[in-house]
Amino acid sequence: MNLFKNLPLFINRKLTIYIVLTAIMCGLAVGVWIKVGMTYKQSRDIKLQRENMIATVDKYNVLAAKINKEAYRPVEKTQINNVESNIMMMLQMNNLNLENFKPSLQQMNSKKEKNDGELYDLTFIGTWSNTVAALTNWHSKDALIGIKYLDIQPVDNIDIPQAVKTTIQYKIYTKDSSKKEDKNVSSKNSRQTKNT
Amino acid sequence: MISITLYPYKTVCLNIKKKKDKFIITDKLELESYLDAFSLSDEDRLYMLFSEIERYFKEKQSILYFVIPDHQFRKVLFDNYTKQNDSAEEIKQWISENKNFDINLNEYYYSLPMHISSQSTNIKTLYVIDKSTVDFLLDMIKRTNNILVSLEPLSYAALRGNCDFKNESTFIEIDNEYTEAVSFETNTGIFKNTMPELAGRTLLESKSPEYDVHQGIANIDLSCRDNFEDINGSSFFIFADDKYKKYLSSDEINIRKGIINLEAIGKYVNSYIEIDIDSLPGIGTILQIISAEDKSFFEPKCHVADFYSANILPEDAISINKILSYQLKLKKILKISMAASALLFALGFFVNMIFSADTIPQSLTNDFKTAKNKIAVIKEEEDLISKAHTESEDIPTLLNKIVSLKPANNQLGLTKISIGNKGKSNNKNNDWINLSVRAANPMVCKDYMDSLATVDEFADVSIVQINNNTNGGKNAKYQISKFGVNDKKKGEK
Repeated sequence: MNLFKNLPLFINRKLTIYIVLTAIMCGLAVGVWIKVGMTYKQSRDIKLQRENMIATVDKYNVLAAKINKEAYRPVEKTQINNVESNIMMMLQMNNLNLENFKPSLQQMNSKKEKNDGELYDLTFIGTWSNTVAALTNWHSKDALIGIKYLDIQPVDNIDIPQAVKTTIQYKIYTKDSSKKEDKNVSSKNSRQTKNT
Repeated sequence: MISITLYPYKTVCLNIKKKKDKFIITDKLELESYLDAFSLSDEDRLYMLFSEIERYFKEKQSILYFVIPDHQFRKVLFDNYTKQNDSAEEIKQWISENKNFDINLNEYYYSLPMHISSQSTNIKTLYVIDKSTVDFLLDMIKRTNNILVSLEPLSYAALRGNCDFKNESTFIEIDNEYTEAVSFETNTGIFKNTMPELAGRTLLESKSPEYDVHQGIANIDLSCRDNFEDINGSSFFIFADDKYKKYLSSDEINIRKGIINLEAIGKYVNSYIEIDIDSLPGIGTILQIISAEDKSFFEPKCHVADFYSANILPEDAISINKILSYQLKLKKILKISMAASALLFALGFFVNMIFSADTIPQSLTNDFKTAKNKIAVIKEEEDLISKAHTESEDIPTLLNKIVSLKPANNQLGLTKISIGNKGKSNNKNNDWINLSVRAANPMVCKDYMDSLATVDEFADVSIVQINNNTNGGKNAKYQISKFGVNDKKKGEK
C-alpha cells in the first residue's frame, strides 16, 4: 500500500477543509463545555448565596415582626430628654411633687451600665393613691423603661395628708443603631416588614 | 459499500455496511440490466446507473464492488506456472512468454484467483479482460465521484458468497446468446464450460429444449467427471431470466438444485433483506475483504487449490481506490465528528445560557443589604427587651397584687413598700419585697400573709415582726422572697 506515495492524493483540499472545520468545531465544543463548567460553578455559588440571602432576610423579617409586637422598645439616645419630659408630665398629672431627680451614681461608676441605657434615681411625694396610680402606669409612650428598685415610705407633709415619699431607680433602655447601620445603604426594602 | 451485480436480465445492488467483524446488508435495489452499458462502454447508460444508485441509497460518494458475468471476460486460462516465485514481475513474464495464452498485457488486465499446487502440478488460473472496457468503467466512476474497489467474475463471487467449499457446485449463467457453466470441483478446482446449446435463444428456438438441457448437463458432468467426489455430480446454481427458467425446472435439475448456505453466510453477514440466488455474487464479492484477511475462510475440501481474490482491476487503480476509500471513510468520520461537535457546542451554549441566567434579583440584593445592616440593631433591641425583663421589676403587676389582696373595709393599711434591691441584681433574694402594714387585729395581718402567699411570683412570704402601735393597733412587717432562676414556680412539678 503506497500510502506515502499517494499522500497528496489522500490529503486533498476538501479533506483539509474537513479536518480544519472539525478541529475548530471540536475546539469550540470543548471550549463551550469548559465555560459551562465555570458557569455551573458560578451558578451553584449564586444559588448558595441567594439561599443565604433569603435566609438572612427571612430571619430579619421574623425578628422584625417579633420586635414590632413589643409594646415597649429601646429608644434612641437622642430621645431620652423626651422620655424624661413625659415622666415629669406624668408626675404632674398625678399630683406628685418631684423632690429629687438625678442620674444614678451606680451608672456613673459602672461603664457597662452606660452602654444600653440611662439609669436615674427619682424621688417624689404624693398621696398613696396617686403614687400607686402613677407607678402602675409607669411609661412614656413606647419607650422601654425598667424599674429596678422601688421604696415607698410615709412622710410628714403639711400640704398633703397621709403623704408618702417614693424613691425609684429606673432605667431608660437605649439603642445605638447609627453605629451599626451601613450609611451607604439607602435603598428601600421591599421584602421587609414594618420595623422601627 | 455497494455491490453491483450486472446480470444480462437485471442489475442487483446491495448496500452493505461493515460493523465490527460482520457485514450488514441494509438495503437492496433491483434495476433493469446495465450489462450492455458496461460491455459497450455506454457513457449515458452508465451515468444513469450511477444516478439511480446515488438517488436510491442517498450517498453522493460510494465505494463500489462490481460483479460481471464470466462471459464478459475475454479468456479464462490455466497452465503450469514455471517461475520460482509469485512476484508481480515474474507473473507478468510468465503470462507474456506463455504461447498457450497468447496475451498481450498492453491490451488486457488479468487476475489469478486460483493456484493448484502439488508435487506433480503447479497450475495457475488466469482471468483476462479487455483493458479498454475496465478503463472506461474506472473513468466513469471517477467522473461520478465514486470509488471502484473491485471487479470480479460472477461465478467466483457467487462461490465465495455461498460460503460453501465442501460441496461441489456449478454456477450456470444463461444469456440469450451464451451459457457459461463454472464448476467448483473438490479435487481440482474450477472448470469453465461454454455451452451454446443451452443459450437462451437456442432453447427458445429448439424443438426439444428439455433434451438440450439434459444433454448440456451431461456435458458438464462429462467434463468434470474425473474430478467429482460426489457421485451424483455437483449442485446447480442457475442465474437466468424467468423466461428461460421453465426449461431448467426438470426433475433432474430440481434434484440437483444448489441450496443457499444461510447458516454459513450468517457467520459473516446479517441481512435485513431476504438472501436469494441473485444476491449471492453481491455478498460474495464483499466477502473478499474477509477472505483476504482470514485464510481459513475457504476451508475447502479441495486440498490442492488455493483461492485468492479474482479482482481484475489493475494494481495502481486498486491502490489509489483503496486510498480514496480510506479518504471517504475519514471524511465520513470527520463529518460525524463535526456534526457531533456542533451538536455539543449548541447544547453547551444552551446549557451555558441557562446557568448564566441564574442571577440574584436586585430586589433581593437590596433586601439583603438592608436586613444585614438592620438585623444587628434589631437583635440588640431584642436583647435589650429581654434584659429589661430580667433586670427590672414588674412594678405595676406586683403593686396591683399587693394592693388588691388587702382585706376589705380598711382593716389593714399599707405603710411602707420596698421592691428590689438598689444596686443589686434581681436574682433570688429573701428580702426582695419588704412590706409594712397597720391593722387593728393581728389575725388580719396573718390572713393577709396567707393571701400574699398564693401569688405565683412570690416564693415565700413571712411576717418578720408584729408590734403594738400608738393607736392601739398592730404594726406588722412582711418579707417576701423571690424565686431563683432555676427554682420551680408554684404549680410546677
